[in-house]
Amino acid sequence: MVKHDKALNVVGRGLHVKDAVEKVTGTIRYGVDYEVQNMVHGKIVRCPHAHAKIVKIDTSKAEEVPGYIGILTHHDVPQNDWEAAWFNYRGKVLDGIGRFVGDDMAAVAATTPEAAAKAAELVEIEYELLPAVFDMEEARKADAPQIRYEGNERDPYGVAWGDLDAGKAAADVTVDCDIFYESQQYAPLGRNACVAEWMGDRVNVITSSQTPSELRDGIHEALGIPLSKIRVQALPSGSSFGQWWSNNFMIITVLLAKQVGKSAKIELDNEECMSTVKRRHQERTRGSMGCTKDGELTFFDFDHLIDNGGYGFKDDVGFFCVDMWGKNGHGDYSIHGINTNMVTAGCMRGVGDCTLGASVERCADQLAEKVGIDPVDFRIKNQIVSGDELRMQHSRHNLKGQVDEYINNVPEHLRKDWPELFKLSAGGTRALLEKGSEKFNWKDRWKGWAVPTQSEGALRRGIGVGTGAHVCGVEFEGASNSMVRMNPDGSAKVHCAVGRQGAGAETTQAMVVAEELGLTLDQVAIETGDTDSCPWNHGSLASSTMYRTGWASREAARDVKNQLLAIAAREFFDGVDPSELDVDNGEVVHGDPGKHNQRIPFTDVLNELRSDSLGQTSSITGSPRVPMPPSTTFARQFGAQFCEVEVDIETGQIKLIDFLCVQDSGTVVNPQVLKNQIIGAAICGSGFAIYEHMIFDEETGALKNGNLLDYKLLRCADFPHDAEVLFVEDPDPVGPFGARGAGESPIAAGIAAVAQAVYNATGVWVDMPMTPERVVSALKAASAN
Amino acid sequence: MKSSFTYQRATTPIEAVAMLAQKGAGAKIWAGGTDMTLHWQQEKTKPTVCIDIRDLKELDYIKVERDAIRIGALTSLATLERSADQHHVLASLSKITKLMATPQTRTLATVGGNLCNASPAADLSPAFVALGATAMILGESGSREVAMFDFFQGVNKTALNGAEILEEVTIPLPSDGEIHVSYRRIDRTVVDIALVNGSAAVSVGSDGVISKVGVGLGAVAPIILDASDASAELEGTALADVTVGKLAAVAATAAKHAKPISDIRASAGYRQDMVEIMLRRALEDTIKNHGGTI
Amino acid sequence: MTVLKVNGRKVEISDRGDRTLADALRTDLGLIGARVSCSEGECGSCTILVDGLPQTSCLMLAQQAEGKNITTIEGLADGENLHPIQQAFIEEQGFQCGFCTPGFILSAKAFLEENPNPTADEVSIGMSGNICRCGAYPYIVKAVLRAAELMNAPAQAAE
Repeated sequence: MVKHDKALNVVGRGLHVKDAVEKVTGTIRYGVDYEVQNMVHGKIVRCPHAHAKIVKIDTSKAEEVPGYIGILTHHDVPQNDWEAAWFNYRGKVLDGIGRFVGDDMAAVAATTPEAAAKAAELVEIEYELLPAVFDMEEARKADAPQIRYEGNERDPYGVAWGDLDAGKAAADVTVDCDIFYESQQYAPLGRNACVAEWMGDRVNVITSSQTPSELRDGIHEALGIPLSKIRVQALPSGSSFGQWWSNNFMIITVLLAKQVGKSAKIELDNEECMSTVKRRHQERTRGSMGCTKDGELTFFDFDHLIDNGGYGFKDDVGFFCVDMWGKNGHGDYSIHGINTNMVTAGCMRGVGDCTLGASVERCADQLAEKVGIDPVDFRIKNQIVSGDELRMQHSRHNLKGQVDEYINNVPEHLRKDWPELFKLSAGGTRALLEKGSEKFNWKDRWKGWAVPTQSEGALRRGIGVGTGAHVCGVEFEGASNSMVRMNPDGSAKVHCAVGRQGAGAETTQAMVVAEELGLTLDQVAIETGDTDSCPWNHGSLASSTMYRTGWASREAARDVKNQLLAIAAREFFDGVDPSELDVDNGEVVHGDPGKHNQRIPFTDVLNELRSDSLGQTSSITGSPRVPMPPSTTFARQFGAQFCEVEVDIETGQIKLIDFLCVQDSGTVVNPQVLKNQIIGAAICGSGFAIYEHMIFDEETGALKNGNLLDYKLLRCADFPHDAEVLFVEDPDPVGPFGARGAGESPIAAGIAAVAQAVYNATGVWVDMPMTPERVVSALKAASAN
Repeated sequence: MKSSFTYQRATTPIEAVAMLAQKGAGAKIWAGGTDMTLHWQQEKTKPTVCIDIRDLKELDYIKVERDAIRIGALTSLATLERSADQHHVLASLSKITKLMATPQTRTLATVGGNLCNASPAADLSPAFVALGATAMILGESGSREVAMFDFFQGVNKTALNGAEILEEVTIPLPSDGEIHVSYRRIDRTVVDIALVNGSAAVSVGSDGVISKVGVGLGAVAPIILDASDASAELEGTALADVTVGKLAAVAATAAKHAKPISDIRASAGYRQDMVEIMLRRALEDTIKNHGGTI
Repeated sequence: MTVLKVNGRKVEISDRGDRTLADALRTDLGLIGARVSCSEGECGSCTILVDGLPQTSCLMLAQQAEGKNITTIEGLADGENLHPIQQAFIEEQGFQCGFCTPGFILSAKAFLEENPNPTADEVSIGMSGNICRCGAYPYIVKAVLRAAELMNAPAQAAE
């Protein structure tokens, strides 16, 4: 699809992000910073029980609080189910049932935040207690308390290919696993707030969100009002990783504002952000893997549980490790989504690949050790390269059906430029592993499985390598669209509803458009949050922003360019075929300057449009004119990471000593932005590997460490400051200028690398998070055997 | 619900004491106030009056005298952190201080405030206990002195009575020879609360013989433990005769004092195992600081 | 009313005792660059300078600040001219979402005043009183080192 590859002027440069000055001067506004005149403040009344039904609400004491205005309860809320993207939430806004400690039960409005908090505390709710269940496996049992009317367990999702029995028979060695993963918390820096203002029957909603269009859809479903009457203005968020998409508290704000007839704001405090919104699932992998004595994988057989908490509704996790370890011919994966009476779980960065993917990496390492192969070589031997078949196509459930439906709806002639479907179109891990092991000096540093690289007193050092893959957005939840408008002065603006959670989309989308239109980055402005001006977009999730929205932004810019060139050809280039023309540095030029040497500034072309009464417009608006190929069937991103750790085998403390990230995300649009994002993933993954986990009360399922004192996040000195990022840029045939997705494969790679390094330092595999205490326990257990 | 309170500044230590006496139980002292402000927001304390003493210059000092180091209660952690060149004991305390909270909190927080918060996991307290330090307490009827070990009465509970404030921490220095103190803790990230900690202070006379050993253990009981009795057998031993085995034996005996609990940070079993290792390492560090080879 | 000196100017806030400085700065004075996240002195987002020293304004009462010189991120740039630390954070992209950035920059300012020629290790420790959940740490270290260069050679930096 990359038609004529000329030198790139904007794409590939480490340009400063557009909001850099706002960020360093503290003037950028997040959800918490936004206010409107005469607004009231809301506070959510939360469920103190794991599972309970409201019998009676008494507001008499709350009403005595000076400043109290009103309350919103389930009686005031339309009883419609609404769904967040990827089934991260499904349920009613309020339905009088609390499904976890901290669940939303009602909301009060008052003139100040303090008064609202006080009144919320004084709302007296009488509950009928219902039986509760916290353990996934208990929740699956037939006699388990039912958390939802749909039942606790979703239909299993799975992928199977080849002949499992044959694969097992062909194995010379096998390993088994049973690994439990605690929940990681987004632990968002920046909290969130939502402001809702009604103007007649229209509502304007201002909040930090990665998915402005999905939020508008959610409000539409919950309230039953037309999409045209809902405007979402999504603001930048603090770190999000999937937390701030469309969240129930936002819709509560909308309804509370309507209830009290005033604009309302609800701001969540830090504990609410950590304990009532969302988290990574608790997960459990059981399974086995086998290989020949030469290290060729022969089968995968995994059964994986994910705990959705109260309102998550996922039946699958995006486990692209299946594709990455794709050389193996026989496999069977089953995934079971199960509800429990704990806070809702949903997609967090690298969903599935940080857990199931890590289980597969561990099993692969154990096989490699058994057959005496180095982990880099074992990966090269068994992991996918471009052109190989993608195993995810063999799904036993809705994915396959949805992709087929998408493809079949596209007329044949529009499919002719598509890459071959169900095969990897570009990239893979091989080049990453080769480049990384050379830079890391792997061959010299590797001393063998479970052999420390250094040993002094109680300190053991070990190195590790890990790999990760992920999708680059999906097509079947809706086509992400983008719109580009060129103004009479030759400047352009791109309208695409994506997130500004720190991944630089406000800059990189504009870079793609600037490149296509021959403009500088400064000449391209962007709107990412306003659903009134941006066409529908899936938003920033599933690593789709650069790939799918970037594709749409480039196509929209191409459409603008084609219109511009057509006018220029007619008015300035003697009616040549517009395809002979191109844009360059804000001017239209002919491909052969010998024929036509004039350079016509865009403003001149647009002036023609202005004076042309038939044009009916003074600006040019562009949109994609063809459907995007179904990228789940061919596009993946890959990361490989190398690290060294130091473990104190007496205390179990782990220090990260050295880190190298190698990434294949196709063409790198902005290396400075992407390096930062990749390192951030390595840090978030390392944190998950060694510290981060949510601790739940066994009796109530309540979060016990909903604060940053006891939910440990890595700090500056906890991660090597000289960590580096290298890129392998295998251009994608579809992504804008060859770019692919980026943010999720590197977190999976980092987790696996740290786990393996700890094994090599200590000789024991430790379940994550590898806290000091768990390391010591694992060492004790090993020495007892 | 958070309490409402009024704010008052004391202009002298004695005025602070008088204000406490006058305002009654709801009156709370804010030294740096970092713990107080946190506990107020977390509704762990419900003050009605805040008495701010942070700027009382009378209690902001570090004095190195022949027989003692005196640290004013309102010395900020940041000041203590930067006192390393005044005395080698202060250098050791400076190292401990660097582990405490964040640089931002250390600016505002004070040594006295940290002690009065009486956290079982506090970082300086085990070192003060090991050093045999005393707390000078100012009340309406004047000052009194309490051994540091007795200052801690329980979680967030001290020997301070209603209308008293902490004035000074006094660290006695040996009249003959030198004292060195070391501290070890288990932590997770670089900013953390100790999961378990241990401190050892060893005095060696000019004759090269160990004259006194103090041991403080933290996060293994509701208060900082004084396990100095475990080290009696080291006293009288020549520095040159100290072995790793002897130190390990002391650590093992001292660790028997521990009565740890399990909480979200660590299990009792882990704490029990680690307190011994922390103390052994602290003892080793101290011996090395004396120039001993083990 | 209580008079504070913020960014070189006198300002008035209410004399209520029971509120934090962070709250007063944000609500009364509109200084939203004092970001509040954890409210417990862990994350460092609300870091400000009090008489030049870094403090987390969520753990300080507003009244405690009376008579002190408060600097927030809004007081760092000289009009359109960014402070060299701000410039360096842009050059090295020492941030992603930007929420923690004002706190890091103010921590860096106090740190560099005490240690104008730091090593990368020293910067790394010095910047550990703030949390960047996005994980821009290696670039934050580079930014602070770059800021040290800019501040030590202002004439060169202007070129």
